[in-house]
Amino acid sequence: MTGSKKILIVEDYADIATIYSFMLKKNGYDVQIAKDGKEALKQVLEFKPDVILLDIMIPDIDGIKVLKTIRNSPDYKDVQPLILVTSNVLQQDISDQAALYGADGYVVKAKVENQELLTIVEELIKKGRQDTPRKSGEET
Amino acid sequence: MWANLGIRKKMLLLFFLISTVPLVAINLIWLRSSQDQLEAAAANRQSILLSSMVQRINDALDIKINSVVTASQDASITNLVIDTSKVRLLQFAGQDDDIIRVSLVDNEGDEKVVIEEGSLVDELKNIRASEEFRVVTFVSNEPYLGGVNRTGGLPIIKISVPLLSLGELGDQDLTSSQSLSRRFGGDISGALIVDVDLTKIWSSVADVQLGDDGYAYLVDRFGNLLVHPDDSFMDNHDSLQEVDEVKEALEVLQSFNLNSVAASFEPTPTVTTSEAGVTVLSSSYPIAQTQWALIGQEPVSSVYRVVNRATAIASLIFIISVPLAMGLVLLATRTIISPVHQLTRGVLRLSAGDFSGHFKVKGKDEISLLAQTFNSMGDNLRSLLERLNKKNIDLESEQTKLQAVLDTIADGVLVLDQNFSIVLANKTVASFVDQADPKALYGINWLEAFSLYYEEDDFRNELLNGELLRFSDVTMRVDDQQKFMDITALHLQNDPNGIAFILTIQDTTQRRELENMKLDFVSMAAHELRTPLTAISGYLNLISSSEMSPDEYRSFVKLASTNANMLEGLINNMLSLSRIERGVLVLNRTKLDWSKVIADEVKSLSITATEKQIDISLDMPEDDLHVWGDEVALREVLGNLINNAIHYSDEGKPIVVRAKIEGENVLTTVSDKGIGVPDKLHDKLFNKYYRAKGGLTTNSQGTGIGLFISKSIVEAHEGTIGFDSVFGQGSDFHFSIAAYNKDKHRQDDGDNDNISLRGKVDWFKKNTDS
Repeated sequence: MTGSKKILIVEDYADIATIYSFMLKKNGYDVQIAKDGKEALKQVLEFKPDVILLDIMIPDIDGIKVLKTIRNSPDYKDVQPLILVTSNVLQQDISDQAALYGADGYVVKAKVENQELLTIVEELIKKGRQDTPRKSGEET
Repeated sequence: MWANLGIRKKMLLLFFLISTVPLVAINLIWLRSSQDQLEAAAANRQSILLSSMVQRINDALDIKINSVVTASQDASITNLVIDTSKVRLLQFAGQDDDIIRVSLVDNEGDEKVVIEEGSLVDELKNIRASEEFRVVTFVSNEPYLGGVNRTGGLPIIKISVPLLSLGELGDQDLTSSQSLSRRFGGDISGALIVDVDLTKIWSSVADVQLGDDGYAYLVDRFGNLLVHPDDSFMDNHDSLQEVDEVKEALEVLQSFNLNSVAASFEPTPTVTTSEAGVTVLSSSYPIAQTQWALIGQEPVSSVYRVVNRATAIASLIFIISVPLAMGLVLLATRTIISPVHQLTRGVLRLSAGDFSGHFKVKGKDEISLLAQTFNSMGDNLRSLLERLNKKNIDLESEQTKLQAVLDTIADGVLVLDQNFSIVLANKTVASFVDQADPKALYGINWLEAFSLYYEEDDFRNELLNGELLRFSDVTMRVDDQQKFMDITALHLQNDPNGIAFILTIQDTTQRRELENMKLDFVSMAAHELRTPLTAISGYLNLISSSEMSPDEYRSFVKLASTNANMLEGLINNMLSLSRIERGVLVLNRTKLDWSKVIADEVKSLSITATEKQIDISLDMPEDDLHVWGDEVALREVLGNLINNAIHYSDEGKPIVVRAKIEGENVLTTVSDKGIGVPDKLHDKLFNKYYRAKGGLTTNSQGTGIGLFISKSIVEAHEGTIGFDSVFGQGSDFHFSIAAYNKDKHRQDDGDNDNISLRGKVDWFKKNTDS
């Protein structure tokens, strides 16, 4: 089930990044961490991840902007990873925005245990990209 | 018209009427009666004098006639015995000086004897044709008196007596002419004609003095002047027929003739024009036997002289005294007028509001009384005015007090009348509409003046229909900002002062903001707390579920532990905030080795620093750096500042922590080369809940309370905190607290206590007597 899928974790909170990274690596994924939006975009082009765990609250260019850029900018049209938008709190408008701008899912970190996140990533990979962005991107 | 005259004119007029009119009237009446009296006196005088004159004339004439008659009765004369007649006639003529000529004529008219000037005259004429002969002998047989002739200047009258033969004579009285005439029938032998000089009679007439200037004169029945006291007049005038006086006298003569009752004759003095052209009072007396009129007259002017003189004097006195008196009246009226003028001026002053003056009161007359009354009125008005002024001042001070009280109220207070016009307002309300003085709002319609975001009609209706209403969150535009107001409105019905609504307006904008900030803070705080918690549980999860190397294991445990510390720090921060807010922040101050404290704190933050490759260096020149403070609290401050420095610096930018002694204080500075603080945020930095933009981070910076707490702690240490920063280059955050001074600073705990345990245990003191 887990090929060498590449996952880019865009997260400025080091501990979360460390935890997710360890967990995902432990499960055979190739993981990179980007601490801010700029680095995230760079990594998208360089690392070419299959999945991005994109936190909304990141410094520099924020998560939504990164999402928009990836989905809409011509520079990124060749790389269209699966994007899971994450945030610390449940906010409907973030969810709406994520859906609107082409994310594939939305996760509230606090609600999700590590194991559950793993499952979600697997599911995401399994589902693959849908052509039309889903209205409700929240998955639990 | 009378009312329009001034007092002076009135007085003068009155005086004039009162004094002159009666005087003149009296004068006229007196004049009249005096005149009448004088007239009567004059008339009386005339009557007496003239009648006696007439009597004398008559008597004189009678005497002359009788003497002639007597002479004529001499036998020889009667019988015309010439020689004897001559003797007799000479005798006769010599008896009387007045006899100028005697002529004895026979019945043919031939003069037989003529005596002139006492001697016989040879020349004898015939006088048959003469009047005196004809009348006597042919007509009446009575003595005849002819007209007066002025031969040679003397007034001569011819008396002719008929010579009657004795036949019929007898014993009868022969002296009476009447008896003579009864004896008609005898033969007339001739006549005796005597020329009598009337000069004596004339003189007596001319001597008549009537009053002062009156006289008498004699005219015959033709109006010819016979005798006049003024000789020159006599020379120039003969006939006075045209003279009114004379005309009247002749009328009297004529009528007397007709009536011929001498005794009952009453002369009527009349005012007429005299022969001299003078207005006279004249009366005339007829002398029947000669047909003369005796005219007596007094010039009217002299009749009335006394009166006229008196009148003249009176007039003079009048002319002098009346103006004099008028002058006195004018002077006297001045004593009335000038006080009146004074009063008028004074009253004008009073009516203009000047109650200060007082009338001088002289005397006790009506005007003085009036002046006194005005004085007391002025006093009353003055005191009334004072009371009113005082009341006004009191009222004003009450108003000022009220306004002052209102102005101290932080909420807006507004009092409106029925029409929503502002009756009373305080400063707060005024500030809502950008006015400094609430009084500027009085009278303005509130709903129009305040830009409320509320349907005006709805508002109005609700206010009118309710008694006590509350409106929450009414939005209002103030200073181009939208503010939120809570309005409480009390509706007064039937207030006697016309107050309808009392409103309190509370600006809740800040409160809302604060609440919003608090809510934000709470959610933010929750979020902040959750983050490390998530990390901790994450690590624990990993540890419990995954295979890992002991190093990894240890590392994760450490990381979890670090997060736990951080969580603890956050919670402590919030507790500190709570304590600060409640004012119960308790400092446990001890002597602190400051360099050690700093070193410890820096060490505890080293992990965070190394994550960003930031190097924290220490610069503490003095070895013995002790402060007087609460370790936990001050570490919080240090931690906050250093964390900020780390957070706002890019990777690799070093941080320096300096501490040195400054006077009695120790100055600690945390310097970074981070992004710095923009100028406009300088004031806000230390505010509660203030978060500098920088996104969500993992320290208390994120909650915005860090600097606020730091400030509170430093200030609780009686210290100061501040920063210098240049945007884009870096910041120096510094604070100064008291250096330890063993004289000033006493601590309850003993110096021997284990420093590391400080603040962690309370040692109960033994009861010592020190």
